[in-house]
Amino acid sequence: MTLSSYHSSPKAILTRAAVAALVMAGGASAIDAQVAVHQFSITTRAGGIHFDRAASLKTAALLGLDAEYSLTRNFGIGTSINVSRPNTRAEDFLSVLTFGLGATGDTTLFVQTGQSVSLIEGSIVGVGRFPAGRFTPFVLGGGGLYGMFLDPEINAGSRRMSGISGTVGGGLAVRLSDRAGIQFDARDLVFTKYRASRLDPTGQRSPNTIFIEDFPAAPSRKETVHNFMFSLGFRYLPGGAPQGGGRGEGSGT
Amino acid sequence: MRRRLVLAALTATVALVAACESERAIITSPAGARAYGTTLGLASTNLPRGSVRFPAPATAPSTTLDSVVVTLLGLDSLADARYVVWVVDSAATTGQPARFRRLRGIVTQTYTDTVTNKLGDPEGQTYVQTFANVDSFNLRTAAAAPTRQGIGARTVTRFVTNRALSGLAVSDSIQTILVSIEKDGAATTPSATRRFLWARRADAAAAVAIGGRNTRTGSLVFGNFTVNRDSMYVFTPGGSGRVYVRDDVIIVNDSSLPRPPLGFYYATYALKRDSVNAAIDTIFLGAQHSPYPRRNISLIDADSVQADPEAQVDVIPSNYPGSWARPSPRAILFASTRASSDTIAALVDPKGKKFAGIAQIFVSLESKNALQGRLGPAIVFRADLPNIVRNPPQNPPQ
Repeated sequence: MTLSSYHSSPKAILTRAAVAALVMAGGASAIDAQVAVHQFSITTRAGGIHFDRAASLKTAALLGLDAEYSLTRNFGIGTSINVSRPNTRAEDFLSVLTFGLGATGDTTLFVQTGQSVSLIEGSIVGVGRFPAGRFTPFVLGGGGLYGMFLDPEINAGSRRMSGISGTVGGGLAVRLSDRAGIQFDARDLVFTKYRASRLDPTGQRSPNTIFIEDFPAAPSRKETVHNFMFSLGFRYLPGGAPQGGGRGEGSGT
Repeated sequence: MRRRLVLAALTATVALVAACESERAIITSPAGARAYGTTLGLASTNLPRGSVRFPAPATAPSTTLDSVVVTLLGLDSLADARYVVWVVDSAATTGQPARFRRLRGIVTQTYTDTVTNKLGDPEGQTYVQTFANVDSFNLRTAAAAPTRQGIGARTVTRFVTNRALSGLAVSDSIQTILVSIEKDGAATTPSATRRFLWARRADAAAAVAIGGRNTRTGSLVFGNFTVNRDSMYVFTPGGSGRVYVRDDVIIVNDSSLPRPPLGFYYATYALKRDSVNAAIDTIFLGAQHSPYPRRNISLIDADSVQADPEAQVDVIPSNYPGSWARPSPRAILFASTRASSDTIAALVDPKGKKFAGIAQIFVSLESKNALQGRLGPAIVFRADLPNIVRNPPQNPPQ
C-alpha cells in the first residue's frame, strides 16, 4: 500500500456513517425517550471532515460527542468534542534525496512524505432549535480549542500544533421516540494559527528547487482554515421522564 | 436497562469501527522519475581573441613599412554582418572626438580540419583562402553541416595592412586597433554596440627588432571598447552552474555570470555523439532566460538592457579602479535554460529514447549577428552528462 493508493473516500465515509445511523436508529426505536427543558442530551456522531485544501490533510472519518443542556425550548448550550485521524496530503510535502557527487554526476530522488495525525477539537457551543413536529431544524455555533498531534516516529519526536477553533453550522434532528432521535448536521470547523508547514516531517530541509514546475504546487498556506464537517448522530436524553408526561414544552429531539 | 446496554454496545461498536483505520500512511513514497545532475565546468575556450603586431621602421614613419598585422581567433561566421578593422586615433587633440579610420588590407583565413586519410587514420588538413584589398571580411559558413558548430573554432584570420593600403598618411597615428561588427558595408565609424575586440599600441610589449623594423605586439582585449579607458568593459569569464535531466526535461542553471559584451548573449547547446564518440550534432536548447517562475523573460539582451531586475544587478568590474559610470555592466546573478524532448525532436533518438547520445552540454557566448541556433566557437561552460542520460536503460527506473 502506498500513499497514492491510500485514501478515505467520501463514499466509504458516508457508507460507514449510514450504517452507524441505521444501527443506532434501530436500537433507539425501541427505547422510550423524551426531551424536556432543563435537561441534558447526549449526541454521539460519526461522519467525516473534508479539510480546507490549504490544511494539506485528506478527508477523514470523524467521531463526535455533543452534550447539551436545554435552557429553553429553543436554546441550549453545551460542549462538542470531535476526534479524527487524518492523513496528510503527501504530495504537498515533496522533498529530494540526492546521492553522489555534484561534480561528477549525482542522482536525485523525489519523495513525497506523509503521515497520520491525531486531531481533537473541543468547543463550547450554543444551539438554537426550532421544533416542528417530528423534525427539528437547528443551528449552532461556538468556539474552543483544537490540537493536532503528529506522528512521533516519523517526526523523530513529539510535535503538535494547536490553536483556537470555531464552529458554525446547522442540521436537522428527527425524533424517533420521546428520548431518542437522529440528527444530520454540517458544520464549518475553523482552525486558527494553523501552520501546514509543520506537517512536513523533513522540516523543509530538502525541498525540490530544480524541477519546481514539474510537480503540483502545494496550496498557498493560510493561518486560518475552514473545514467542512458533516456527521450523522444519535441523540439521547438520559434523564427521567419529563414532567407532565408525554411531550411537554421541550418536545422534539 | 437491557435496552440501554444494547444501545451503548452498538454505539461503542460503531465508534470502534470508525476509529480503527486499517490503512496507515507510509512515510515516504517516490514521486515520479529520478533526476540526474552534474556540474558545469568553466571552459572559456575559443572566446574571441588574438593579437596585433605593429611593425614600424626605427627611423621615420613610412607609408609602406608602417604595418599592422591582426591575428584573430574565436570569431564566428556572421549571418547579417561583416567584421571590420579600424584604427582609432585616441591620441587626438583633447576635447575632440576620437577619429576612426576604416582599414583596408589583405585577409588570409586558415581553416584546419581533421580528416580520415586513405589508411583510415585521422590527419589534419588545412585550407587557406586569401582576400586582397578588402575592408571587411567574414568567415565562410559550414555549408555541409549548417546545424553543427561553425568553423570559427578552427579558423585563424590574419589581417595585414599598411598606411598605403589603408590610405593613412604618415602623420596619422596608429594607436589603437579595433575590430567591430558592421551591418553597413560603407560605415565610416564603428557601430557603438559592436566594438568587441581591441588592442592599444601603448599597452603592447616593448619593441623588438624584426627584419629591420621595430615591432610591438599586443593582445586583443575582448569586451566593449570605448575611447575613454575608464569606461571600457573587459569580459572575463566566470560563474558556475549545474545541469539536471529528468524524464523529458533538461534544465541548465547558471549563477554569477559576467554580463556579456555588447552584441553577445549566452546560449545553451547539447552535443550529441554517436556510438564511437564522434560528434554528430549540436542541438540548440535556447538562449538563457530567467529561472522559474519568470522563465518567460529572455536574457538575450542582457548585454545592453536590464531585462530582469531580479536576475541582473550592477556589478563593478574588478579591473576598474574607481566608481563606474552608467550604464554600468550588469552581471547575471542567475539564469536558466529549460528544454523538453517533447518539443525538440533532436533530443530523442529514432527509437524514442529521450536524450540518448546527448553527451555534453555547452553554455556558449554567441554573437547576435551570427546564425541563431548554430553553436559558435566561444564556449564558456561545459558539462559531461552522466552515462545513464547518454545511454538510457531500456526500462528506466521510476
